[in-house]
Amino acid sequence: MTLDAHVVVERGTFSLDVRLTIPTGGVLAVMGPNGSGKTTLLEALTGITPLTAGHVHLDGAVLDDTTTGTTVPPRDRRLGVALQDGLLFGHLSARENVAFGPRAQGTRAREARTAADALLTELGLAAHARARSDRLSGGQAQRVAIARALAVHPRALLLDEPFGALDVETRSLARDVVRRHVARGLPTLLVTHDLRDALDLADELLVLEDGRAAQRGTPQAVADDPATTYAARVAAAVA
Amino acid sequence: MTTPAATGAAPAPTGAGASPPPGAGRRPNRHALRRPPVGTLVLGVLAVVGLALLVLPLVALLAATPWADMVDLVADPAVVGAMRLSLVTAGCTTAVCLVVGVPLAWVLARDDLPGGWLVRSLVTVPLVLPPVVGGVALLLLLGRRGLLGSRLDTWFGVTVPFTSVAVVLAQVFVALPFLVLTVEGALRGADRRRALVAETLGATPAYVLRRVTLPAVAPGIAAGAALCFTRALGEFGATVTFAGNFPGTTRTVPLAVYLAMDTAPEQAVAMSVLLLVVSVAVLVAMRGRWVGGLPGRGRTRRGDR
Repeated sequence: MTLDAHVVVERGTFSLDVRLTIPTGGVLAVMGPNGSGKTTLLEALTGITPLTAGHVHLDGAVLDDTTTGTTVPPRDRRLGVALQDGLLFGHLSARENVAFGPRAQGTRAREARTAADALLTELGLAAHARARSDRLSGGQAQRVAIARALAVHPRALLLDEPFGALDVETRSLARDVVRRHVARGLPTLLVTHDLRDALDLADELLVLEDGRAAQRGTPQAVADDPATTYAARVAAAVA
Repeated sequence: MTTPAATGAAPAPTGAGASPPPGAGRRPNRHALRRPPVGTLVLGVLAVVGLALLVLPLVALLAATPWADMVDLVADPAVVGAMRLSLVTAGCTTAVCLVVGVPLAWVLARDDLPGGWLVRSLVTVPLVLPPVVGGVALLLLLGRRGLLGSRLDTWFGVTVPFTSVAVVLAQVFVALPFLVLTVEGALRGADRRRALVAETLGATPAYVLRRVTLPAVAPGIAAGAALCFTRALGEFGATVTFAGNFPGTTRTVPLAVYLAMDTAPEQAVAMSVLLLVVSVAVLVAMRGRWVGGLPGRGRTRRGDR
């Protein structure tokens, strides 16, 4: 399963133009200053944000192609998506949040809940499965969002700053969980502000600035030889 | 930390603001503390007058209420009948408004609706229209010689005017906009990004509406239903024009009150108090649920950053 995309999105004065290929089980980390287009890139891949031009191919299947006018709606893409800030369904319990995707696609409630509990346990949230999700702390909510993305048996993972609110301990736990699921062969795009996430998880790092790829390489290579001021600052933060 | 650094760094601006030419700047300040400026005073008086206009009539009503005879007056079969009719029709109206009003609100809340402004205007017209005009219009549509009414009569032998169904239709006409606009506001306030997340999880629009959007706007729907019910309960003009004033079938409490003002003023007062109590009770009950309805609180805590 390979994710191959050329994403062009133009909105007002902002323009994003990026090519990317993520192989089976590969993790591409995307970093960049605020407003560089990280979230737009991720949301374009989910189908939420329409492409101005370009294509998105997943394992040979066409999700988007502006030359033929093809676009698969977000609900049929079977991607594991965690958007920024978690965005849980506040009126539902943590368990129902995680079970939401499978249930929406017709899995029986009991089965979906059992699977949800397993994922929540994996992420250290077994005790909070029944809690209303708007009562969870920021870090707990973020882990529920990761579990919710994994629960749909996705063909690829798209995670927008999934570890931002996590403390050191839960962060490494959550990284391990993501790593395990990626290892089953999921191409993964990880938007992050922390080079450590990239160094720990990613095979490739894309530094995005002003909607363009400013630098690409292994996370270590970028850390060792940053090409832009932003990359240098990010590298200095972990040195 | 602020004291030495701040005063040292910026003595000029703080000094200028805090100590103006001695006496000159201080007097108006002290003056302002003791006596509010005339403008504020006028506003306050006008506000009190406004409140009095709303409250004094109700005070007069309660003062005139024959509390001792209240039970007897209210237990009168005519009053009981009118009250039952009012509650049943207003209940039906609220149900009808929920069934058709929530989808209408959902359509209106979509930004991609072509001619959305026109639909919204059409929904708003009954809100500003005198109810009597609504009654006339309903009669011209569904009356025996009306646009639709004549067909209904010749084809099915059905006549709508002057029946309890007509009461409900008249109430729907005046109450539906309240529900639609309230729910539309709630839907627009709901976080659209959560609906997008649900979509990426494989949910169809109908599923998103049922399990994400509607629960999130439930307090708004409850508020809209409460407004709708109380408005229906008080409907007079459209009802009397379109449904007439027949005891048992179309004489709701407002109509009975109006009639009784001539013949049995005490009963009119008693029924008025009854309506007041029911209306206020509905508002209080809904308000309690609104405040305790939590989703709003949870929504603002996260996600709105």
